[in-house]
Amino acid sequence: MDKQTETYREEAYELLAELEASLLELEETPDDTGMIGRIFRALHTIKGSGAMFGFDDIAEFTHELETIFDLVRGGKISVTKELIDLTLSARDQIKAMLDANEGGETADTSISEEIIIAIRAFLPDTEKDLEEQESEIRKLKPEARYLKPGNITYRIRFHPDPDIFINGTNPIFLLNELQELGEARIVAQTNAVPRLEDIEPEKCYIYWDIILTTSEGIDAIENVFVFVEDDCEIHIEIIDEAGGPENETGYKRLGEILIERGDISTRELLAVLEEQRRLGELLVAAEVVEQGAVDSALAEQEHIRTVRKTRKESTSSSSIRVPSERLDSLVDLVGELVTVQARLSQKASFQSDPELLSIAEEVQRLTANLRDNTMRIRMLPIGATFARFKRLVRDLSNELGKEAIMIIEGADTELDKTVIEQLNDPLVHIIRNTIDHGIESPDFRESEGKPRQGTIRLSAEHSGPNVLIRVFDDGAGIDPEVIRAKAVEKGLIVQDADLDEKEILSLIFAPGFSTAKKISGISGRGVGLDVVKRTVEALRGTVKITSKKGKGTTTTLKLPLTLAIIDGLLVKIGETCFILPLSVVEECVELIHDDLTRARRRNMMNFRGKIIPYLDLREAFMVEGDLPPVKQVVVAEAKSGRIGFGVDHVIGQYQTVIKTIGKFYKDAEGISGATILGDGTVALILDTAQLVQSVENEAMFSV
Amino acid sequence: MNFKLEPSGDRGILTIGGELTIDRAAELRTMLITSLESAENVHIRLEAVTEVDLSCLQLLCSAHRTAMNLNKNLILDSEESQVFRQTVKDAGYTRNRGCTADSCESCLWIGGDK
Repeated sequence: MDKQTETYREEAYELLAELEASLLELEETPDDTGMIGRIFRALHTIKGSGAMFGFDDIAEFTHELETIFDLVRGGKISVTKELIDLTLSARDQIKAMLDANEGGETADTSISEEIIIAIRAFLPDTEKDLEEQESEIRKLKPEARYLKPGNITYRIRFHPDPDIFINGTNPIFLLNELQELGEARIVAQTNAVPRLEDIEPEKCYIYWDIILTTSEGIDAIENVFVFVEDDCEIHIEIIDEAGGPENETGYKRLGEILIERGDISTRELLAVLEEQRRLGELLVAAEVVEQGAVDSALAEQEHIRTVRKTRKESTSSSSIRVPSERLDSLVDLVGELVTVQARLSQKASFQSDPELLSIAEEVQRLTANLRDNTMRIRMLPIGATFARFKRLVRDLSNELGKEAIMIIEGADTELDKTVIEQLNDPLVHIIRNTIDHGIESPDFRESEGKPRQGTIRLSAEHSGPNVLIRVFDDGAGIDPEVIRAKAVEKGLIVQDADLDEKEILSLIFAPGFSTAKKISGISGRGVGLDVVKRTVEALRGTVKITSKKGKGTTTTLKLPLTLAIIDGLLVKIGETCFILPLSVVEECVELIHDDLTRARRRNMMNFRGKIIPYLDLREAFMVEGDLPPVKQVVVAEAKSGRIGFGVDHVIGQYQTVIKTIGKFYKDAEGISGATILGDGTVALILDTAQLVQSVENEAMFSV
Repeated sequence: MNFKLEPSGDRGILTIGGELTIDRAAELRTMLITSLESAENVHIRLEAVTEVDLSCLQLLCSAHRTAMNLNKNLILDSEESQVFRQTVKDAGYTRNRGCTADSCESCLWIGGDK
C-alpha cells in the first residue's frame, strides 16, 4: 500500500472516531450547530479525500450522508434519534469498507444499499429529485466530479451582461455561492459606473475579480455560473495549487498579476518602470552609498527571505505523525542507554577520577531528561479511548431495553500508550457488566424513585505515579449476600467462611464467578471480571470494587503511568539483587530482633508501635549464605495494609528499565520482571502484591 | 424615500428605506439627482432597509461620483442597517482605498463591516 493511501486510511479512521463522538454528543444536544458542522466537515473530508486516493466506494457512499447533513446544517432536516442511528450504522459501514481496503473481509454491499435507501428517505422530495439528477451526473463523469487534488486557488473574473438585472439574476447570489465553496476574496470593479445623469439604473456596470481557494474542482465553480455563462464573460484560471512552482518570496509581484489579468500590457508596465528607477540605483546615483553596500543589503534581503521560508516550513509542521513502532524502538534504546549509563556511573564511582565522575554525572542527568521526555512522547490522553465507550453504552442499553448515559471526566489525563491499548478490554468488560447487572430497567428505576435514565460515570485522574480510573454507576449495586451464596455454590468459599464485605466483593473477580441468572449476549458467561483482574495486574495495576446496595457500584482501576521504566529501590539479599517498585515503598528501617514476633507461622513485626506482617525475602527466595549483622526492612504498602520485607542491605534508588522475563518463568510468583544492572548482572523486580498473596495462600493451606 | 433640506440650507438629509431593489432604482436615481441639486452636503440615511440589491449600490456609487464632479459632499450612514452592510460585503464592495474617480478620498465603501 502506498504512503498516501496509508495516510488517508489513518486519517479516515481518526475522522470516523471523531464522527462517532460528535454524533453521540449531537444526540444529547440536537441543536448544537457547531457539532452539526463538525459532522458535516468530517463526512466531507472522508468523501473528498476518499475519491482522491481511489476509495471510490467510500466517496460514493459518504456523499449521500454528506447531502443529508448539509440539509441538517441548513435547518431543512431536524436531528432525530433515527437519523443518529442511521448515521452511526453508516459510520460502521464506512469503517468496514476501510477495513476491506486494508485486506480485511469485503464489506457487504447490500448493507450499503440498505443504508443508502434509508438515508434517501430522509430527503425532502425536491432534494430527492436533485439528488437523483446529481447521481446521474456522477455516473457519467466520476473523475470530473471527485478529482480534487488538495486546495487550489482560482482567479475568477466575472463580467456580467449589462442586462443581468433585467434578466432576473442577482449576481450577489452567485457570489455567495462562490463564498460557500471555500475561502473567497471578492472585489467589485466599479470604475465603469457612470454619473447619475448618464446611468441607466437597470443596467449592470460592475464586474468582479474573485480569488477563491477551495478543495472543489473547477467544475464546481463553473456550476455556479451555469445559468449565466452564455451571456456573461467568465474567466477561471488556477493561480496556485499544491505541488506547483512556488515563488520563494511569497506571491507574484503586482505588475505580474496585472499583466496576467490583461489589465495592462507588458509594454505599458515596462514604460512606467523605466521612469522609476530602483531604490538602490537612485541611492547610488545620489552618491549616498556605494554600489557594494547596496549589493550587500540586497544579499541580506535575499538571505532573510530564505531563512524565513525555512522557518515557516518548520513551524507549519508543529506536530508530526510517527508510526508507533518507531516510538517503541526509541523507548527500547533509551532503556539500553539507561542501563549503560548505570554501568558508567558505577565504574566512575569505583575509579577515583574526578573528571570521569563529572562526565558520568552529566551523562546521568542527560539520560534522566531523555528518559522523561521519551516517556512523555508516549503519553496519550485517555479521552479517545473513553469516547469509544459512549457508543458501547448507547448500543448496549438499546439492546437490553435500558436507558443509560455516560459522563466522561478527566478525558485529558495522560497515560502510557501501551497501558491505554491494554486498558480497552478490561474497561469494556466492566462497562458491559455495569449495564447488564448494574443499571436497572427504566420502569424499575422509576418505581425506586430514581431517574429513568441511569448514569455511568467514567473518570480518570492522576494520583502520584499512578492513574486512577473509576467506573461509577447509579444502578442496583451489589448484594453481598447474593455474592456470598453464589461463591459457596461455586465452591469458592466454605459455608461459614468469615469474610467482611470487602472480601466478599472481591470474590466477583475470582475465575469462573458469574451471578447472571441467564446468560445474555453481553455478560454472564463466567468469563469477565477475572480476566479484568488478570489484565490489570499484568499492567502492574490493581482493581478494587465498592458498592452500596440500591445506590450503585464503583470499580476503581489503579494503574502505573508507564510500563517501560520505573523508579525502583535496589536491595541486596546475599549476593543477589532485587528491585522493589519505589512507588510502593514507604520507609526503610533497621530490624531489631525484639520487634519480631511469630504468630501462626506468619512473621509479624512491630513497626512504630503497630503490628504489621513481616516477610523475610531471604526465606521466601531461599537465598543461602551468611546473614548480615543487621538486617534491614523495607516497609511497603500492600493491598491489606503495610507489610515489611526483610532484606540484607538497602542499596538505594535505581532507574529501572523493565525487561520481561521469558515465558519459561511466567508462573514464577512474586516476580513481575527483571532489569540489567550497571555491572551486567540481572536483578529481579518484585511484585509485592503477589508476594503477599502467595505467602497468605501458603499460610492458609498449611493451617 | 424622502428628502429634507435643513433650515440652514447647506445640508440635506435623504432618508431611504424598505426595499432598495431594482424595482425602485429609477425612483432612487431621481431622488439622488434632486438631492444633489438642492444641497451642498447630502447625507444619506438608511432607515428600516429590508432588502438591498446591486442596482442600489451601483446608484450610490454613481451619486458619489456625481457629487465629486459637482464639488459637493455625499455622506452615507449605514451604521443602522445590518442588511445593507452585509450586502456591501457580499457584493465585494468593501474597500481599503477608493477608486480612481475618488479624487477627494470620500469613497462610501471604505472600512466595510464594523
